[in-house]
Order: sequence, then C-alpha cells, then structure tokens
Amino acid sequence: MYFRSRARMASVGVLFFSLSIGSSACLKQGNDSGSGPFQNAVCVSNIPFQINTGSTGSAFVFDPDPVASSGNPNLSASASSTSFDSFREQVQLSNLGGHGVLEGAYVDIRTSLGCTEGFGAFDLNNKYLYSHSSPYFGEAMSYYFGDRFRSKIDEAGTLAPIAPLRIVAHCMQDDNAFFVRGRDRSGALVEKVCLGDSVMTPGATFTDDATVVIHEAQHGTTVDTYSNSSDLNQFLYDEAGSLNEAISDFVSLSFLEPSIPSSMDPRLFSRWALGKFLGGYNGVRGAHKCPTYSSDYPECAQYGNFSADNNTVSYSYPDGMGWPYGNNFSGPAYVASAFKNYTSQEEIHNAGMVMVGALWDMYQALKDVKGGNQDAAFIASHKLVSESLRRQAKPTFARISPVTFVSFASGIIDAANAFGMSGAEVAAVTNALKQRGLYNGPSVSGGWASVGAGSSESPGVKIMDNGPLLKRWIARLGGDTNIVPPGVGTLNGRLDRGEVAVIWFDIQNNSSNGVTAGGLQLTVTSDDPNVTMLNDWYNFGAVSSSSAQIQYSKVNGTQVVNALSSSNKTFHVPTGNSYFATNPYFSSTSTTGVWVRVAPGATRRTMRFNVDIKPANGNSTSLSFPVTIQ
Amino acid sequence: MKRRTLYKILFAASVSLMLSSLSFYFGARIKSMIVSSDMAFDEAQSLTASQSAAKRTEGKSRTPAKLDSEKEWNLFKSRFGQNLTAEYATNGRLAVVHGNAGQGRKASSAFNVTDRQAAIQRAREVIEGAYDLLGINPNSPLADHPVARNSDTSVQVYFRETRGGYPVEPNGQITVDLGKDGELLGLYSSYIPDIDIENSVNLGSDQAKVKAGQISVDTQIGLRAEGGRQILWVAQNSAMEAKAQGRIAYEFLIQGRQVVVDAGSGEILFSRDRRHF
Repeated sequence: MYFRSRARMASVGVLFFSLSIGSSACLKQGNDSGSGPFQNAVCVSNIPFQINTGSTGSAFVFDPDPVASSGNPNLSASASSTSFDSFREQVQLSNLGGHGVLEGAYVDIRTSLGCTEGFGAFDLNNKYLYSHSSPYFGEAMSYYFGDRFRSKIDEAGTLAPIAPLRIVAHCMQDDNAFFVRGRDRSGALVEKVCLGDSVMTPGATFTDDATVVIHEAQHGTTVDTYSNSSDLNQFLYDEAGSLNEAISDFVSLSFLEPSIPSSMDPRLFSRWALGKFLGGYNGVRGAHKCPTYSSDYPECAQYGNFSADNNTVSYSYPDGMGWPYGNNFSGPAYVASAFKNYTSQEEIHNAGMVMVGALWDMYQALKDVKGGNQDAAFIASHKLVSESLRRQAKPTFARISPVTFVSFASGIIDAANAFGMSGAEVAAVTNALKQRGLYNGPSVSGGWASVGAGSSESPGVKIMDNGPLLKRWIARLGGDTNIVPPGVGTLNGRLDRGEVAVIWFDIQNNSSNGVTAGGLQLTVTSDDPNVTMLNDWYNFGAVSSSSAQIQYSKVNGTQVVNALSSSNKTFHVPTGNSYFATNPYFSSTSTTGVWVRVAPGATRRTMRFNVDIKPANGNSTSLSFPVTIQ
Repeated sequence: MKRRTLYKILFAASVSLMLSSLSFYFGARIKSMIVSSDMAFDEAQSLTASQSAAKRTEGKSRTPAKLDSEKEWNLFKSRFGQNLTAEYATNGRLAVVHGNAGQGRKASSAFNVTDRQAAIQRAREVIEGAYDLLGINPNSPLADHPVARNSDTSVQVYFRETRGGYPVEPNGQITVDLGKDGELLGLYSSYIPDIDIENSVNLGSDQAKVKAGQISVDTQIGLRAEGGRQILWVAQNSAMEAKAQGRIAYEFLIQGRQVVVDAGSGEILFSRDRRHF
C-alpha cells in the first residue's frame, strides 16, 4: 500500500527476489500487525552487502518536528498524514554504509513493522524521499537526526557507544520511546533505541519528533559514558535517574536549537510528541527557570521566589524539585492546584526539571562567552557533561546509588578546570550552576532531622499492607505475587505477623535556617530478625536481609513552607516540613518504599527501624522509628 | 696490625659513617621510597609490582578479623596519596576511595592518560595496593581483560570479578578512576570476597531462553530477545554475607527486561525493567 504503482512494486519485488538468491537476505512480507496506516511493510533482515550505493543520500524530514517545520503551533497530530507532506524538508544524508538501507557509521535504523528489527526503507540510489504517510518516513527521520547528532558528538570527542547505535522505528512501544542496554551471548554490549507509535493518537509516531530521537540516543551516550557495566539509575526514584533524563532533555534542546524558528521557544522539549499525542494532556517539558503555571512564565522574573498568593514557583535546588512543568491545572490558584493534584513529584522525568534548566543556563552562558557560537557552546557543554559523568562515583555496597545532582554539578566545574577552560568560561559554568542552587547552595543545619508525625495508624511511618495493591505493584516489578500472603492483617496500616508490607519514614526537617533537605539517601536497618527486607527484586537497594537503601527527593524546610502558605484558603498550599507533607502522594506508588516481611512467628513487640539519612546538602544523621508488631 | 688491614678497617668505617649520615639526612624519604610508587617508579618496577600481585593469588585471602585495616590503609595512602579518604561497606571491606585531581602520588613520568595499557597497568598497581582491604580472594580473581575508557584528562578502568570462570553479576566490580598524571581520583568496589557456587549447569542457553520468555510483562515490544551468556548470579542482599550464595545462571534481555534464569533449575532468579524512557 505504500508503493506508488504496481510497476514499481513489481520491480522492487524482483530486486528483493534476486537479493535473496545472492545473499543471506531474506524477504519477510509484512503482515497486518501494527496500528493504523502502518501495515504491510516489507523488511529485509540483513544488510545487502552486494549492493553499492555510496555514502551520501537524501531524505525528507521534519526539522525537528511538524510544528517547527510548519510554523504552526496549533497543528494537530490527528490531521491527515499526507497533509503534513507540505512541511517536509529535503536534506542530505551522510555516513551511509552504502548498501541501499539506512545503516551507517553512527546509526543503524531498523523497523519492527511486519518483522522484528529488520531493514524497512530501501533505495538503490539512497533517495529516502517518502511521504509522511509511509512507514519509512520515520526511519529516514531517525537516520538523519541520529547520524547528525552522533557525528557531532564524535567531533566533540564524546561519542559513546562507539559502535553504530541501533534505532528501531515503529518498535511497538505504545506512546513512548526508550533506550535499553544488555549483553549478547558472548558478553558484548547490546544497545538499542526503541521509537514507538501512538495509540492515543493513531497514525502519530514518535519518530516524527527529532527531540525524542536525540533524547533516546543521548541515553545511550550517558549510560555508556558513566560506566561500561553499571547503570546510572539504581532505584525507581533516585537523583541519578532524574539526572539521566535531564541530560537527555538538555542535549536534545541544545543540539536542535538552530532548527527552531525564531517565533518559537527553543527551550521546549517535545512540543510535538509530548505536546500533541497525549489526548489533551500537556506533557511538554522545558528548560525555563519556572513552570508554565508560574505567573512570571516564561521569563521567570521572580526566579528564586516561591509564593502561593502570587502563584510563583522557581526551578532552584532543592525547593524546585518535583514541581511539574506543564500547566494541566486550574486557576486562579495554579500553584496550589499543582501541589494538590499532581501525583508524580518524584517521577524521574518530572524531577529532572531543575537540572535541565541549569544545563541550559550553562550552555547559554558559554555561548555568550564564545561570541554567540552555538556549535562551540554545544561541544563544550557536551564535553563537560561527559567528563562529569565518567568521573561520577559507581555503585558499591556502601552506597548503591551514589550519584546526585550536587555531585554531578561539582563534577562539571572540576571538568571545566581540568580542560583548562578560560577564566570567563569557568566563571560562566560555575555561576549558572550556583544560581540554580546546585553549587555552594545552602545546607541544612546540624541536627536538622527528627521523626515526623507519620500516619494515624502507625506514628512516624506509613505502612501499606493493602494486599491487592501490593500484588499490582509486584506484578509491575515482574515479581511473584504469591509472596503476599492472603488475608493476613491487611489494610490496617500496621505491621502484622506474617504479612508483607511497604513502609515509608516520615522525616521531619527542623533545620534552624529553614533550608530544604535535598537528595536524601536512606539506609534502613531492622533491629528485629523477624522483620526482614525483601530481596533486590523488590528492594533495589537491599544490601542484606536486615538492611536496604532508598532515596527521597526532598523534605521541605520551613522557609518554603511559609512562602507557600496563604491566608486565602484557595491559594494556600497545604504542605509542611516533613517528607509526608512535602510529597502528599509519596505512597501512591512503591517507588520510594521499602518492602518488608514479618515472620509469622514474630514476637508482638515494638521493634525499631534505624534510618541513617544523608542529604545532598548536609551532614548525615540517624533516626530511630519504633513500630509495633501486631 | 698490618697496614692493609688497617686501611680496610678505616675504609669500612668511613663508608659506614657516610651511609649513616645519609640515613640521618634523608631519613623518612628513604623509607617512603621503599614503600611508595612515586615518580621515580619506572615501568620495570611497575611490572614487578604487577607480578607480585600475581604471586599473591597463590595465597589465601585474609579475613577482616586478621586484617589491620588502619595499617593497610596508611600503607595505601603512603603509596598513592595522603589526601585520599576511604569508605567501608558494613562487611568491613573497602568500598570507596576518594581523591582529587592534581593531588596524590602521580604515576611514572611515562604515564599518558590516552594510553589505555598504561592506565590498566596503573590501575592494577592501585588494586594490588588495596588487595587485602578489598578482600580479594585468589579463588575469585579479576577477569584478565579489564576495560579502560579515557578522555583527555582522566581514564577509568573497569574490572570484573570472576568465580569458577563465570563473571560475577550484578555486583563484583572494581572501577579505578585515574587523573591526567595517573593520580588516584577514585576507587569503587562491589567486590564479593567469598562466594559459594550452589548449583551446576543442567540447562542449555536455548532452554533457558524459553524459560526467560515466560516472564510476565505488561507490554509486547517488537525487539529481539538478546543474551544467553552464563554468569554467576549473587543476589545483592546476600553479597555481604560471610559466604555469599552464587548460582550459575543465564542472562537475557527480553522486552526491555533483564531476566536471569537459574542454569540448574530453570527458575527465574531475577527480573528488572532496564528501559530508559
């Protein structure tokens, strides 16, 4: 259905037939898998080495997405696919392997439409000039931007992984895209990007958004640069995971800045896929100093201030952590509405906003020092990010997830000095990070922490023992739901003998200077051998049967609590200076919880969880949380 | 006394006097040269240090109770820099060493951060210096071919622990972070001193792959299943026990999930979503 004439279809068919005779290439006819118009594509499994087409070619693309290419911010993703053809631009392709398929020195584009990771687009003249309605259009987009990006970072000296990165278009991931790394049978690294299609907006695909292509490709660079074996993210929520997302957003924005029309804001990430595919929900992220619902957006003239009455929020560390970017809330009390209704404060994409903005500020400052030279600023920024990444601490049993926003920022400044950057450049980098609170920021005072109120059922802590809910969480972890014993003291919010539960600790922040504690690393130890930690399948930070590590994003200080308070009930933000009051939805997922099991024969007694806490902006402290076994 | 004998005695006395004067003069410096690997350490001596590390593998590992950690740490600092600080895991083993760029002992003058073989050699010296602190066990050697990755100003060398010929996963790693002059910037260890292999291989890789494919996932992604290498899986929560429990396993990447299958029983030992969205 994607061939212009039967004659053309026949000629291509003959060509493929001859290929299958002359090589190990096998032709797989597409089937009806795939959604919407992306059906019946044709795949080639292996590179047709006997064909020689040269290393350059041409393609139609959006640069970087249909909104920017059309100049129409109101363009709908539901519009007819062929209507987007007028927004296409013809571009040159480089570094092709020269065998008529979209593979080359830096990227290897595959499709899973009608096959699994085969070559879809094919042309004897390297002319990948497709209508937007063709499934091969997305493959051409992926090649063009993947190749341009990776060749640029090769020029910077920061290329990773070195081998061509496999990007799979139409990979059957619904409404999302990702990077994944594993090992093959020989132990060699296998690294892939998967670009999915939208189910919420049929016909829309993530390959049409170059910010997504580069975001995912950068994940590969980030993870590979950090370590050849350890992952940067260690927990479901940790600052390392948010850093990973922030770097990908930033690199995408800074690389594509020259492509954005002057009428549009270059600081917006994924105005197309996240802005238009999600059924009315605005998932766009940005590098601004404040979120879109802050009254001073977009220039954030009130940066540094938080105010419920004035509706201002600042992306500064750590107070700005966790505030969502997009305005999906109702007014007039937007800030209060965001706090009350946004359920994913500690989700890693959301929690990365402060760092995205900080890196963007750093990049702009370097551009200023370099006389407006965007290319030089991008290369310098990428080198700094890469050097800091490679130098970050690796996981050990002392600290399973050691990387924090503060350690990364510090690493950037060290890198600037190590590279021998000029005084002006080092100052630009340092000031950008300092302004965001990531370098030489305020610290919590000594003795800052105490046990908070906790829950009414279990003072000081929250215990989730809802069996069906725990089973759903376990299923998402890929674990064994049978570990939750049926009908054992469930739903009372207490620890009962024989039950499995998830527990959180309400840390109160009494810092005398009112400063928020950020990036909290917790080591939780049970003093009762009958209350044990589940293993690392559930507790990603489990280090023994009695101890596990976890992270909390922040615990408010009294300064920001007061700033968000209002005498007007509508505008008042009902937060407080404890973990439970900082993130009211902390227990809506198991992300920051510790999984425990109580032995059936445990003695009914008050046991203790001893919690060592190390904030990124302060000294370690220890608290003891008593819990009574029922 | 014959004159010749007297001259011999006088000569010996003079030499002795000169040497003791020199000792007095240089004192601690001579002692530090004996134990340090400073800039006077040339390539031949470095190689000797590496060979001595190899010889150590014939011995037994020392338990924390017998190890004088403070003494060993001081010895390590005298070799690699007094600026260094250490963190230990709860099993008493060295987990982290922190250093700073431009500080601490440099490698030999021939060191070049872009020379990966030199980096590996230097990293081996560091590990040899912390051998007992790390709890390295001759039965769990580090794999022969560590990986070095460098920039213009630093190089990181990654070592993987093995046991019974299998790479230990998910921990069992030592990373050495070196600066431009080979000074120690960081050391990170999740090495596991003692591992009991509790199973044997009953399944082939293809059989294990079938088991891995039965993992319940919430989405069907169009990516090929990858993997099938044999590893020694030591669950993270048992790694710091006196005798950690290791199981020979196969490792796969299925639908974006890491899946580890017991090579003896076919049981799924571990599964985790490895997708970065």
